[in-house]
Amino acid sequence: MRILVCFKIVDDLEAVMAEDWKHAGTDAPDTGYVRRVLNCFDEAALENALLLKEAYAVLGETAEVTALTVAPGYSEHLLRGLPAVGIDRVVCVECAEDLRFAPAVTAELLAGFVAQDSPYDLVLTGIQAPPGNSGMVPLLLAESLGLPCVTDAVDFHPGKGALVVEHRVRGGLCRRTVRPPLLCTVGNARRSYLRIPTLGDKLRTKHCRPAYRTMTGTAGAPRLLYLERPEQARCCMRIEGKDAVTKATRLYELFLREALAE
Amino acid sequence: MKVAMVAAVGGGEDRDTLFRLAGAARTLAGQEELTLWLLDGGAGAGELFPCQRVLRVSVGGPAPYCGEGLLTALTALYREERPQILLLTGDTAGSELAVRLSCRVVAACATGVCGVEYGKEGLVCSRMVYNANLKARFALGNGPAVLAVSTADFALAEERFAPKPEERAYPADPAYQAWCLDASVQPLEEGDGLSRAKRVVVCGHGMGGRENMPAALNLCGEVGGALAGTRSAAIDGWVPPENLVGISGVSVAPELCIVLGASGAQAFTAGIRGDGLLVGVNRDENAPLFQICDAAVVADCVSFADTLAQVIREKRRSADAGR
Repeated sequence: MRILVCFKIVDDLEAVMAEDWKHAGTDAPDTGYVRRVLNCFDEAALENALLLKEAYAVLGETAEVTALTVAPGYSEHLLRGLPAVGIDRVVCVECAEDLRFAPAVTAELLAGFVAQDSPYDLVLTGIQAPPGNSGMVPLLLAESLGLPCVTDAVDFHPGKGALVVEHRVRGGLCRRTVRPPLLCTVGNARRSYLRIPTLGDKLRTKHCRPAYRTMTGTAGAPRLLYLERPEQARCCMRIEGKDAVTKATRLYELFLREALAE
Repeated sequence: MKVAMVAAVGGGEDRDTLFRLAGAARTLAGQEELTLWLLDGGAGAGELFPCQRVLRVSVGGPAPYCGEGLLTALTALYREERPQILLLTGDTAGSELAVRLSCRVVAACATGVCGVEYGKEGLVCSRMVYNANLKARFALGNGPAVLAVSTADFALAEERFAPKPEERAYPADPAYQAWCLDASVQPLEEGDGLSRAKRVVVCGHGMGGRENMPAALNLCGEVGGALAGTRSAAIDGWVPPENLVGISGVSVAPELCIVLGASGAQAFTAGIRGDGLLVGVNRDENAPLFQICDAAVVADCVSFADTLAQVIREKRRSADAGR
């Protein structure tokens, strides 16, 4: 079983100061001071790939996990941490384009790598990633690679010549048995956090380095006209009081009595 | 301009979703130019839909429960109808079909569309980016486009008598049937129920742990509300994953929303819509959450939830005794 996980390293947008979101225009907001993290859905995809690798090992089958990302936005320490948790190969495609709102270019670069590599049985990606948040890259990648697609997967189970994928559909959870190859987008999965490597794992893999490739994208992208900060502020009243009972009573009298009236 | 919209992608939308999608279509074209493509399971739209034509589309084989099993039929229908703009719902199922269909028919595409208009740049779409911290406007040009629409951002279209549906039938996709060996769906109602709830209590990471959730459940019981959570609370199993509020979960528009221990990240607050009463409780007096609240309480959210539940109970009891 050859598994490819396409992942993205993103800015921790929760740490961006409110002031920096204003006056965005069409330029990227200043996020240079915040830490970089694995996109949360891609982190879930990586962990689920490792869980699948372990599940196949129990069945006596070998699974190899390759993690692929497209720069800009890479962060060396995050890439170098992946072999320690069990990722067999880490590849970073470098390109010079502004990929913020260019899902077709990102998908083209990912597909370009896959075309040069051996075929994969399973391609996993997070369901969406900032800053674009369009969720288009995995779907465009599936179309580029000619792979069938399952969206919003939450869990995976190996089967005989097949793969069982649990994924969310409108109003329910679908348990689907499919024949590889396929591409799955991972949403709010049951296991969403990437495992933490032990010191021994880190020492064992300290010489592992990501492989870098340089590629160029040619696909088009919609033209960004401008970015603006949506106005959400309300006239907030701070409920003061010497203790919780006083505050709760004031909150009830000022707001909740009317709101809770039948 | 020919505009079409697809209903019942992946199991049937509720009436409001369809009429809001029609509301989005009406910003681009009049009723006389709108066609409704009603896929299997879309009977709920009724005869009161504001459109010029209704195509009732059936696809052979068992219900696919995913875009993969519908894509071939939808592509064939698109090539027969050739709409200038095709609108789908912006949930996962609708977005998947929109993006993949746009690839196959060579059309521009945008997902999560919360505003749409024609200008000198051609079709211009707005959508949230940077985890809902910014709204972007994109020009998609003058060619055909397939859009996945964030229906909550559009007004309901008015009811009109729809014409009698034309029937279209497509065979099951053999490639899909060879690929998918089995599929069964276990219904999960919580998420759908939450989006319609009038009162909601949302828990964030500030609740501290699963062991503190009885305090939130107790408050839910007193206010008669549904329990929901931020992504971190849902991922840690404090609330069911179907009850996740935010850009990766459910959008709620309750009359009363009490948020316990959430910081107020845009990825979460983007899931709270409407102008209902919003109460925030957080230990951090500078929490961004307070900027979008009507009432803010700086307190430990677990003990405050218990206290508030107790106060509500006592106030109700004394009101009942006074009657």
